[in-house]
Parts: sequence; C-alpha cells; structure tokens
Amino acid sequence: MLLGVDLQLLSQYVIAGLMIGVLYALMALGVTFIYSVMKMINWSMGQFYMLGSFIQYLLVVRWLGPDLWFVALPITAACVFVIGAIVQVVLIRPMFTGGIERRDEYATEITIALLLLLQSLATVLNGPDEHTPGSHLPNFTVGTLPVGGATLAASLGGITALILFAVLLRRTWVGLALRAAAQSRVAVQTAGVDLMRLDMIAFGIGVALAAIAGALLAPVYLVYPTNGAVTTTKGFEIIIIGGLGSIPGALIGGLLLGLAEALGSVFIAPAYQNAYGFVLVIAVLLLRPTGLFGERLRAA
Amino acid sequence: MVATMLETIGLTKRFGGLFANTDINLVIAQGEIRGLIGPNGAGKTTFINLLTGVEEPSSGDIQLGGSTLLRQAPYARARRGLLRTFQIPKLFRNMTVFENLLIQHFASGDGTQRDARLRADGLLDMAGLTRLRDSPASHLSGGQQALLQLLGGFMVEGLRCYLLDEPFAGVNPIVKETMVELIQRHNRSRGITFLLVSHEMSVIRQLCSSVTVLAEGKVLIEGTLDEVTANAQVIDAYLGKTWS
Amino acid sequence: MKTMGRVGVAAALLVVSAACTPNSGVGAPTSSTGTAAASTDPITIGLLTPLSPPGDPAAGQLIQRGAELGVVYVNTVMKGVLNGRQVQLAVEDDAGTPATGAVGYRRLVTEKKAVAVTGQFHSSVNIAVNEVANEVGVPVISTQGSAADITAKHYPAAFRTHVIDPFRASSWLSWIQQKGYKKIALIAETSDYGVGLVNETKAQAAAGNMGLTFDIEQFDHASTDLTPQLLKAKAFGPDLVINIGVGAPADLMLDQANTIGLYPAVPMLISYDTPTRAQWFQLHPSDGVGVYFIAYFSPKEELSDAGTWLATAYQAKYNEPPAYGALNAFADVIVIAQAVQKAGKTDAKTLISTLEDPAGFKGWAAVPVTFPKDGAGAFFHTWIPPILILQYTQANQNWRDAKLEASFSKK
Repeated sequence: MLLGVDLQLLSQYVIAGLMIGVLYALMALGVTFIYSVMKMINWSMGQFYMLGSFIQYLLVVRWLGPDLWFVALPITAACVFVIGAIVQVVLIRPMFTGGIERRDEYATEITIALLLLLQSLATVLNGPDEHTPGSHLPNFTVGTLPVGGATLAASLGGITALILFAVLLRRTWVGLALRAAAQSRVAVQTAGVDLMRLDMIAFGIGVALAAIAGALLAPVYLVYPTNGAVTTTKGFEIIIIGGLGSIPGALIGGLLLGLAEALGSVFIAPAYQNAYGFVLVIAVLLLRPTGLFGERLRAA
Repeated sequence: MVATMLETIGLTKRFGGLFANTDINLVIAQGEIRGLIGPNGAGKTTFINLLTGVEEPSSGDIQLGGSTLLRQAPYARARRGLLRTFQIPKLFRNMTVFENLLIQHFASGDGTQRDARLRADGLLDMAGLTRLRDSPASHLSGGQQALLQLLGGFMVEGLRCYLLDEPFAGVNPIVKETMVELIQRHNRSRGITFLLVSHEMSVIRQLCSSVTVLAEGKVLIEGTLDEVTANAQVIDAYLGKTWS
Repeated sequence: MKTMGRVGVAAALLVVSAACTPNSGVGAPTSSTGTAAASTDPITIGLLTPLSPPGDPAAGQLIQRGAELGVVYVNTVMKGVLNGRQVQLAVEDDAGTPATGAVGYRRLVTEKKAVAVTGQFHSSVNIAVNEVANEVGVPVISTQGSAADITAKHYPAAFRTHVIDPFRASSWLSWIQQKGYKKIALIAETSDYGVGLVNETKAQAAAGNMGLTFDIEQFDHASTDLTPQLLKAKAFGPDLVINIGVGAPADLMLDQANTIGLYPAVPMLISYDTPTRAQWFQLHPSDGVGVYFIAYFSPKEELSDAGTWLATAYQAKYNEPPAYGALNAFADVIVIAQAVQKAGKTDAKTLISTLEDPAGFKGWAAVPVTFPKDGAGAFFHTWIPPILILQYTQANQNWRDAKLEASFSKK
C-alpha cells in the first residue's frame, strides 16, 4: 500500500496513464510542430483527428477489413496529409504571401472557422450514428492491467509514429529544412528553401499526426463527428505544459498529462480526471510560464 | 568589356514619410569586390534587404546578371546565386555546424546530396573548423559564428554574387584573416562577385578595388578608398553635417 | 486585391460554415412576421434540441427526424389545423448548453412566433429553458428530459412526455430486488441526469430498507477513458453495474468494462434505450449480447394509428425502425397540433389549459397522452411511457425480440 492505495491498483493506473499519454503526445505534437515552423496555431486540429478516424473506419469497413488496420493506417495518414496541404494552400497561404510579412491573427480566424465548418459538415453528413472499424486483436495484460488489443496497438502505433517523426526530422533533407525554418524563417529563405512549399508540407505533416492518433484510436474511442474534442482539450493543455513549439515538450507533456490524470484518479477521485490536467497547467503557468521546454519568444 | 553582375536602377525604399533609400543606381561588375561604406543610418542594411527580397522596393529595379529580381522571393534569388550574410549571424543555433552548412544545399539546385556533404567537410577544413563539425552552432564563439555564416554562402555551387553585411563586426584578428583569405580565394577561383558592407577600413583597403559611399539613403560618391576618404562631403557626412 | 482575397476567403468560409450548421429550419419556410396573423398563415411549432457540441447532436438529430415527420403527418393526414392552416417547424440548436437553450427558446417564441416549443433532450438545458418559459408563458413539452426538476417546480408552462428519473430509479430498484442483487456499482456522468439518478437510487433504496450497498463512480461526460472508474468498481466486487452514461460514454463504458474483465462477469444495466438503436451490434459485435437495458415501449404493445404511420414513414425514409426519441418528438408535434385544434386558438394560456384536458391526446402509443395537473412532485404535467427492462440474448438481435425481464407502468 502506498498512501492508502493498493500498489497493484496504482501500477495499473500508471500503466494506463502512460499508454494514453503517448497518444495525447501525438495529438499535441501536430499543433506544436505546425507552430514551430509556421508560427501559427491550428485550432482545428481536433477535426483532423476526427477526419483520420473516419477515413480509417471507411478504409477498414469498406475495403481492407479489421485485420489489415495497419495497412489502412499509412493510407489514412497520406490522405489527411494531402487534405491538410490543400487546406493550407487554399486557406492559409494567402495570409503569408507578400514577402516575409505575417498575419497571425488571420490564420487564427481561419483555423477557428475551419473548426466550425468541419465539425458542422461532419455532423450533418454523418447523422446521429457512431461507428467503429472493429478490431480482432485479443486482449493483453500489461503488468497487471488488462488492456484491449486495440488499445495496446494504438499505444505501440503511437510510439512508432513518434519514432518515425523523429527520424524524419533528424535524418532527412526535408527534416533539415523544417528544423531550420523553426529556428529562423528569414534565414532559411536566404539559404534557398522555398518557405511557402515548406509551410504546406509542415501543415500536412502536423495534421497527419493528429489523424494518425484518430486512426489508431478509432476502434477504442469510436468514430463520430465530435470525437475530436479530446484532441482539442488535451492537445492544448499539453502545449501549455510542454511549451509551444517544443517537440520534446509535446512528448514529455503528453506523458505527464497521462500520468497526472492517472495519479489524481487513483489518489483523489476518478470523477475529476479531466481536472487534474488543468491543475498541472496552472502549476506550469505559475512556475514556468513558457512551459517546461518552451523558450521565451524572441522578436524575429 | 566585363559583364555586369549586379545592377540597381533608381532603387528607392520609403517607410511612410521616411526615405531609407533614394534613387540608388549601382553597377557592380562580375568578379568585383565592391565596398559599401557610410555612416550609421545611411541605409546600407536596407539596401541589402532590398537586394535579397527581405523588403520590397517602393520603386526601381534590381538586376542580377541581366535579369530582374523584382517579385522574386528570397529563396528564388538565392537559387539564382545571390546570397547574403547578416550583421548578427543568422545561424540555426540548435543545429550542428555541419548541418548549418548542409542547409545551404537548397540554394544549390544541382549537385547530389553526397556532393553537398563532401563540400561541407571541405569548407570546414579550409576554415579550420573541422573539430567543431558536430557541435551545436550555439556553442561557437562570436567570431566562429561569423566565419560559419560566411562559409554557408560558399556551399552554394551556383553562388554568383555574395552580399556581406558587416561580416567582421566583433571578430578577432585571426578569424578575420581567415575570412579575408576565403573571400579572396573564392573571388579568384570561382569569379564570385562581392558587395562588402563594413566599417573596417583596413579590410576594405585589402579587399576592395572600389568603394561606394552611402549617406542618408543616397549614393554620395564612388571611387577607390583613398579617393572617397579624401572627399570633403564624405568627411562631412561621417562627422554628421547634412549633405545637400 | 490581396487584401480582398484574404478577407473574401475568411468571409466565404464563415458563411459556408454557418450554412452548414444544422440550424436552419427544415421542412417549411419561416412564417411572416405580420402583426395580425392572417387566418391562412402557417402555425409554427418550435423545436429546441441539441444539434452541435457540447450537446449530443446524435440525440437531437433523431428528435428532429421525428418532429419533421410529425409536421408531415399534421399537414397531410390531419389536413392541417384550424380550418386547414398548415403547420411548420422552426428549429433552434441548444448545443446542450443552458444559456444557448434559453436564448433559442426566446428566439423561437418572439421571432418565429412558435405556439409551443418541444424537442428538449438535455435535462440541464430543459431546466434553464423552463425558467424562461415560466416568465414568457409559451408551453414547453420536453421530449426526452428526465430530471425531476423539469416539472417538479409545477410551472404552468412545463410539460413532459418522458419518464422521470424517480420512476426510472424505482423501476430498476424493483428489478434489482427481483434478481436478488445486493452490491450495486453506479457509474454515472456528472450531468444533471447522472447525478439525479444516483441520488434517487440511493434515496429510494434507503427509504425502502432494501439492504443494498453502493459504490458510486463518477466521470465527466466528455471523458473518453473510464478505466479508472471501472477498476475501482471492479475492486468493490459488485453484483451489478449500472451504466449511467449518455451517448458515447455509455458505449465506451461497456467496451472498457469488457476489456478489464468487469463485464460480462458482472452484469450491466444500461440506464436508457441506446441499445435499441440500429448501430448497437455494429459497435459492440461481441460484448453487446447479455446487456440489460431500458426501453420505453414493448413490441407487444399496440401503437396508435399515428404511431403506426410514423413507423412506416420512418422506416421508408431512414431504413431502420424509429428510435424512441423520434417517436416521442413525433408525438409531441401532433399533440401540440391536436391541442391547437381543440382550443380553437393559439394563445399560450388557452393552449396550456387545453393540454391539461384529462381526455388526453393521441400520441404514438395506444394509450392517450395526458398531462395531469394534479400530478404530485415531478409527475405534474408529465406523461410517462412504461419502463421495460430488456436483455439481449443473441448477437444481432432485434430489440423487439430481446428478452423481457420486467415491465413497469405508471399507474
């Protein structure tokens, strides 16, 4: 027993918290990554999570079947990448053209309008039903915690996606350009990088990350037009905790949030699970306002 | 007749009521190392910003190798061979020294990625920075950062015209020597044209065959360094008397 | 030109998104705002229901389906009201938010001139709307709000055609007694619905000296991970788990309970009729069998001719039998039309006293809909369908074939 809590129960909660923390991190990563390159916040990220879950559902149910969920996953990611790129070019790029001037406020307006549009469209087109792609994966036991096969697959898939993203950033030319742009949008242009095209790629990658989370969690948290709300809430909490624009911040922040919710649930009460994250947010804002890994914003 | 590499025609930039650059006509021949000097606030950095596309001119034209650069984004100008350094070195601080050179590959266009790697190592060797290859750029001293920034331009195969904005500010004499050598070497072997903005008269004398003086946003005079520094109006401009 | 482009794109986007928000009145043009209502002008019935988050748009859409078909029935089968005047629906989205609901009600009554408002689903919104209705006077007939306070305050304008939670709680407590369960885990969302049901269940069990022990676990309606609550409930060692979630949480709770081995080892009762929806076995192909759940009409019970009409029309249009929410909304609309017809007028006070007529009105059930003025407590102005407790015994079973465990009627 620890502080009046059974150790087995505690370990189960901690495992569950870390497993979901990986997926929280994936949700937050897209927003923070887009911000790091484009210096704008995409408020509609939850809708791309929802899109990812719907596309994965349709691919599995109409074509591939639940056993090939891992084949559907990269297709879903690619589809949402393309959708994101189109959205960026049509709606967001016009804000940024005209030399190196920026219009951050317009980008915020546009992404919030996009949030409303996609959510309303989905509600109207989908109707009142929820869906699931289903899963044939058996249940496992992680430590002492019984875990759904699809949940475990989602966590492992999330870790894989994060690793692939790290490889993309560290070891490819595109990753080099993205990292450079995150540090100086002006210098990267004078180094010969087509920043408009890079922005499009960054946006596509960012929304694809959220879509991957949605696709992985489709059999776990179900598929319906408002399922992106989780991403929106948790994603932005994590960004405050980890620091906007910091990739390690998104990862650590996600795990910390999952842990905070788990520990709060087991030591205090599960009813306030969603509140513990906000306690952590307030603590970070008081003690380290730029987030655990955030940097003070420098002018230009 | 030597070809013209860089030419501005009536280049003007105003910010509201303030004219930062007024009607600047500048012709730099290919292979020249031109100095650009003038008192603080003369509009030198604005001029470089106009050339590279960081700012849009209010009127006038810029031509590189005979084609206009107007409405070309900075990255496009870089790919055409016009590069620049910044007064405060704009390096990618969290990336390694090696990666800071690699990123310039995007301006090259041609050449394989493996060529880029070889080239980067070669330049590091030339500059004596090989032992810092995998250190983050933020770990370099001020002088080393200025040197690294300078090397970046030389990475680009298609470099034709290199604009250096106060590259020697705060740099110790040894590093300064290395930088001067690099400029001279690339000027001779690759025929690269330079426009050098600097207050360091000794380096200007060493490198530049001719010098343009800018004051209050206008070209005051052009000539050799000795000619322009003997000119009364230039002396007045530096001492703060208004030039009419 | 560039500025035009940016602003133009933003404006276009906002316009399109507003048009796509399920807010527009469907089924008929909005009525003219003339001062003296001409005797051929259509009569407007207001539908105030959740169509966007944080409300439950799934529930609202089902209600809207029923209400729209109700309007069709009134105009085609009943041939309109008050000498052939057509009836039309004006729809407002309450977004599951009390403040939005209150504003929506006002808009329906003052701008759209609705003679009555129906369609409520979320109890918290319903309670807030009824406060406004008490001031303004136009009656509200709650379609699916079950909290006691909706009618317990005895506001003249408050009506309801749905079970009340005290009755729901007493029904399942009777069933629990029949089954001999002693340790009950209540896993409830922290909405008015969830909290009300938990309190009612505990209070009635204590008052009846039933000898039950409870483990109460709560969660926020927006939660997706209920594993912490389920693990604690499992540690309690219950004989029965009552699933008091609405919408996605109800489904997630079943799946997650299955994953941690709580279900089917411990039976689960779902607090409302979501398992009767066609999607149930698609969502729960393996763990959907064996659940106990609530339904509000028995397949053996006769439908009225209007109810039968609806069942046919709904099946034809949506390819599935009507959900309870749609049935109820349909009935609410035709009841309002019948009351207007009987009253001969549309003013609120007359309408309210007509609705109280003990003879009642035709609804979807064979039994007429009545709104007793003398109903005690929350039974005031409330018509309660029977509560049935059913159990799925086979996969992909039609809910009408589910095993009938118990049936309770308000006498």
